[in-house]
Amino acid sequence: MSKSKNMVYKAIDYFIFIVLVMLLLIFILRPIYAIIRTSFILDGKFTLDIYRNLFRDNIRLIKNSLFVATLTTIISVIISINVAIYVSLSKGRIRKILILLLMLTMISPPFLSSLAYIKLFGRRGFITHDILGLTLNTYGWQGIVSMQSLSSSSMNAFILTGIINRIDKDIIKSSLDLGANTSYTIRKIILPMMKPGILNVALLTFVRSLSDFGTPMTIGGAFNVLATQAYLNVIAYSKMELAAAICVLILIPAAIAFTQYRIFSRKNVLYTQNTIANEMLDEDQDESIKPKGPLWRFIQIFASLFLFTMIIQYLTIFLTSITQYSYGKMYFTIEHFVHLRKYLGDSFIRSITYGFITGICGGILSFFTSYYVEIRKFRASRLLDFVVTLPSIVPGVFMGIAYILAFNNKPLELTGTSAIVILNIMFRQLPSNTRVYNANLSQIGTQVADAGKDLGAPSIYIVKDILFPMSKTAFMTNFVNNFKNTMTTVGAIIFLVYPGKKLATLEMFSAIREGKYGVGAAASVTIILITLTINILMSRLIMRWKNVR
Amino acid sequence: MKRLRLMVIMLLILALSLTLAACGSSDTEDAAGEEAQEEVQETADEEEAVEEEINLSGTTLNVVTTSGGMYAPLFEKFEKDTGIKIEFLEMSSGEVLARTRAEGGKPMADLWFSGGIDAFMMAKNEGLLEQYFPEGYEEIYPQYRDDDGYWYGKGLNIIAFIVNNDILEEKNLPVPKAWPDLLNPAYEGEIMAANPAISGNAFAFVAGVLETMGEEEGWKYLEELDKNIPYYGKRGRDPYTKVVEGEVAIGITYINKSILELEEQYNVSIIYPEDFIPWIAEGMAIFKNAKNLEGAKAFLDWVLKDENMQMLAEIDMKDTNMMVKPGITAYDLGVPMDRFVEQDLSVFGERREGIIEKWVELVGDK
Amino acid sequence: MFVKLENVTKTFNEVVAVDQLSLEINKGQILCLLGPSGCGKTTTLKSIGGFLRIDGGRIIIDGEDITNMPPEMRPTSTVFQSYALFPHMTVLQNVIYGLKFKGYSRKEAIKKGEEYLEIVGLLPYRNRNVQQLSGGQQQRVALARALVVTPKVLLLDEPLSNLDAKLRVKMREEIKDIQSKLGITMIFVTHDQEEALHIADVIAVMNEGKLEQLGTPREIYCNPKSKFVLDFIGNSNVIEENSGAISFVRPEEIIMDRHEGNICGKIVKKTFSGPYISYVVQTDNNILNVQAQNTGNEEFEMGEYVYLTFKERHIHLKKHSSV
Repeated sequence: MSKSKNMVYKAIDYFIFIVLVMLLLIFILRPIYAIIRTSFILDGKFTLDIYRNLFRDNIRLIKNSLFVATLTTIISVIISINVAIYVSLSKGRIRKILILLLMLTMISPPFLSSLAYIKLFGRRGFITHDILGLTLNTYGWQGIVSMQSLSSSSMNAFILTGIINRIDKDIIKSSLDLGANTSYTIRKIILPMMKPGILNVALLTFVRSLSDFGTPMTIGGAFNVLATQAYLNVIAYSKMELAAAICVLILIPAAIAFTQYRIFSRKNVLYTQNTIANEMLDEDQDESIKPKGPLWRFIQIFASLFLFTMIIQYLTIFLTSITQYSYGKMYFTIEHFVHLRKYLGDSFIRSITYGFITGICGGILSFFTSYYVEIRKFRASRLLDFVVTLPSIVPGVFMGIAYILAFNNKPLELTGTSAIVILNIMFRQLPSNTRVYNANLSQIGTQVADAGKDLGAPSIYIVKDILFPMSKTAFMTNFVNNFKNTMTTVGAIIFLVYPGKKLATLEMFSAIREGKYGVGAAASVTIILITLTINILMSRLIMRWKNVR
Repeated sequence: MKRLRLMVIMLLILALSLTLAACGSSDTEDAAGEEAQEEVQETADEEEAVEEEINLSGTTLNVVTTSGGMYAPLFEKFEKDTGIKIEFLEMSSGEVLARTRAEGGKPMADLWFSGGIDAFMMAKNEGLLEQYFPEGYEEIYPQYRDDDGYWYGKGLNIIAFIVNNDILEEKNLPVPKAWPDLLNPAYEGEIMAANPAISGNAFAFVAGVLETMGEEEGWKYLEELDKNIPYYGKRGRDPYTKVVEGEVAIGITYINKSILELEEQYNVSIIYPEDFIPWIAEGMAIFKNAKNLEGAKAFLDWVLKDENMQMLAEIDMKDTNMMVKPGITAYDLGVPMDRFVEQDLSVFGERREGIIEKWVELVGDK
Repeated sequence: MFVKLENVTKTFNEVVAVDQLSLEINKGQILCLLGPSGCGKTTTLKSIGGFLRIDGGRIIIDGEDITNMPPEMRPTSTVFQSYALFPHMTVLQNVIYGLKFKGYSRKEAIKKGEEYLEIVGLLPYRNRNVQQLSGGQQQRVALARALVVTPKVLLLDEPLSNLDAKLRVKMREEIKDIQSKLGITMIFVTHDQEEALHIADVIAVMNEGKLEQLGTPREIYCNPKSKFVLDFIGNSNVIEENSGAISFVRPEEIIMDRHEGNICGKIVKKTFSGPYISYVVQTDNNILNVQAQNTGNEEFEMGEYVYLTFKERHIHLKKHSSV
């Protein structure tokens, strides 16, 4: 290969890297700086006044936040590991149905999931009160932890399933062939190989729980957390500076969790070998995996129970959309859907368009971020990785306000455009997108990339011929995630969307604001169906796409 | 090679679309809107010369409102009458304030329609609103408009009880008739109110209590009541929502059309307290630096006309007593005017902060 | 000299992995880097391949200083321990991947790829997905992929460690055949001394980042220059002499006889292992391992007293050089 050509490839490589770093600086650090700055500047002067008693005043909230986040992470990780193993080791039609269920339950329509939860498990909940005859208090930390765990588990399980799928089935098969029972195979082979995925998922869940204010607001009752307090300071008490300071407070445990994750993943050399078939494989021997044993039974039951709960929750939403009450009596109706037509139109099309843009652009963006962090491993890559994590640490609403503060003026005036909404959604999803890619790329390992280099491929070719096609599961997972998040986004966008440029979720909320839950549920069912359909179609397309030229 | 080129092009497009999107203009839709607004500006310059005949037809008026779906018929009528198209976005008052502050003088909308008057007063003090005296300003009762012409009432919200009859029956609890009834220890954990810092309506309740019972007695009442309240709702709609869901027996809520409709759907009842009814005016205002300032003015002129006020009253299902100007015959909801709290308006303005502070001290972060 | 390493040094977080390593080999030779895990052999290989940046020294191939070249520019190619095949490509796509960066047209590339698949005996599998292949077949694909780009030096990182014992022997013969057919220079990393002795023209025994000894397999085996090399290669008996020096004798260098010999001892253990029979003999001062060929007629029994004679070739090391 000629020197000049090599220079060109190098230049492209640098160009992409510089663009990437610039994007991260502009769309993550700049807005976050803009909002945190407000907590240090009072009347135009730098001051630490707000921080003086911040810790002491909020010690209870800090404890609450950490408690909920830790518990949610543990529960969600346990659920999602079980579900992921269950899905991965199932076969045929059952597997297809399970994946469909995961894709469905990943789409968690804001507010209505909580509503369904209350309808099912609340004080007069269908299951707890009407069937079991209990009168439970759902509000409080139990409610928050349950809702957060349930709503994050499907996505987590989906990510982990993608990771197990990358483990060569032959390794699992050969382990089972060699006489190891299912329990042993799961404990000694599958679980260790899932480790990078589990770590990433745990970090994401923890951080997301810390920054979630919506669930505690709806179902927390008197149990307050930092994120809610920050939100109330903005919305109710008009104390932006205090709210920003609380965001800084949320950043601390998140940063600690992040460093722990980094240390942990360095100590436990994560599975980085290229996992392709390790032993002779006769075509005829290609028997499907037949898992059995007590651990497998447990996983089956556990996962089924989770999925069953989720199904009921979604059925409740569906039921809400086709029923109406008259003097306490329920009857079936399609009036909500008819009524919905009033809200339908532009906003749904707009949501879908935004969803495609965030799905594809977010996928590419996170791929490159992860590529430079995980494969290239240059000196500042850990810092870059942390910067990318920030948007998930800062509660959604604040990312919204941060974007207005940062982009309401020259040189980058974005307020009022569609771009600011798309960018905001995309960059808020970047942490989870990147984590998915990190897990995936670390599993592919640097050796394959080295092999490409060794054969004379410039970095850019390695990216396009090897790493990108090899990690298409991650691309698919991210597309699905971004699309559904765009379709169900809340929090930040209320500060960014302009009249006449509404998104589908806002229509849903406007129905809910008017107390028209049926219409809200109908909107939500429509959102779920659209999202599910597009996600299934896209993931088929992506998974079928091969690198054969 | 082809694939590589494609890849590089894709990346460039991504990078460009991300960075260039920066340069302000977004999509055609937007550009069209801006053109239209420029036109407005131009015509605005000529305005001095030709007082009448401003052609606002074809321009867009951006509105933030608490409930766009509900007001859609009104907005449609406005468009029909004037040719000005209304695009709306639903936001709560707290969100409007937070966003407008952050936007640094470039508001997301021209007009703010509906929401507790306390937020409007705050916005006026922070210089977020535009001064204007619409046609019909004089007709508004003085207590429902800003003397300086920064905001105007559009109707009253009143505060009452909503009760879940199933729970009252199940727990054998009496139906509350007046405010002191709520102090009954039997109601412990069964009463829901919203956080007055978040909800203007919830603040109206606190203000009404203080106004009627007097400062000392009033605070004592709130403190006693606090014992029966498990936690304060963080959204204005929480109290009635939780009653419908059966999470609590009694909610202290504002009353409007959609809440009245709940009586027909669920086994819940709305009760106007016998002793006094707190209220709060809902406001309208123009944002400072509104892009379509003339359109916003036109809307205010238009909406204060009797026929449009009439329509608004019907949409809001307000009682005649809940209108801000005389001469509108709306529904007779049986809202007893004699029970309205005689409210000193300053409670929603300068006194608000002090009351909120004291309230937070009283309840903690419940 | 075709490949030359001059004072190559590489440290990881202050741990010296390769310490001032210098060695040379000729064109067409197979060099084995041999040593226990952690001795720096893989680090050395990665440094030659360009995957690690060395902290000091120079690497020269065919007169060209490649020390600062990125891997894609180096005249080397590598067979990775895990093969690192591209799982989403077919056998042929894997093999010809490197050719497109060498200016081959697609047609030429396919032709050349098929040629090399023929050499490794996988031509019928060219359109298979690599994931459908057995371990040995994958190994061959990796080999063909690395060879097809006609590197000046082929680097192999423990390429046989993932294969079972029988396949390992077979593959190592194949690699040697291919090497002699193509006359290519190879650097082969292994921790298996037997493999090294078999395949190498030159062996570099490494320990703790340092070169212990460089020589032909014969030199390494018969004349180890240090106790480490001696211990690492083959088995040996240590005999302390009165002068303070130590001498060593390999088990197969001891002749055992019922009637005559220098030392007398009693057989305390006997192990039959096919071509050999191993004995442990207890003498007055030592316990000696003896390996006798299984000739089929003469065998000794447990408890029997025997006489031992050391062949001439036993090794003397001065005491100070031994540790």
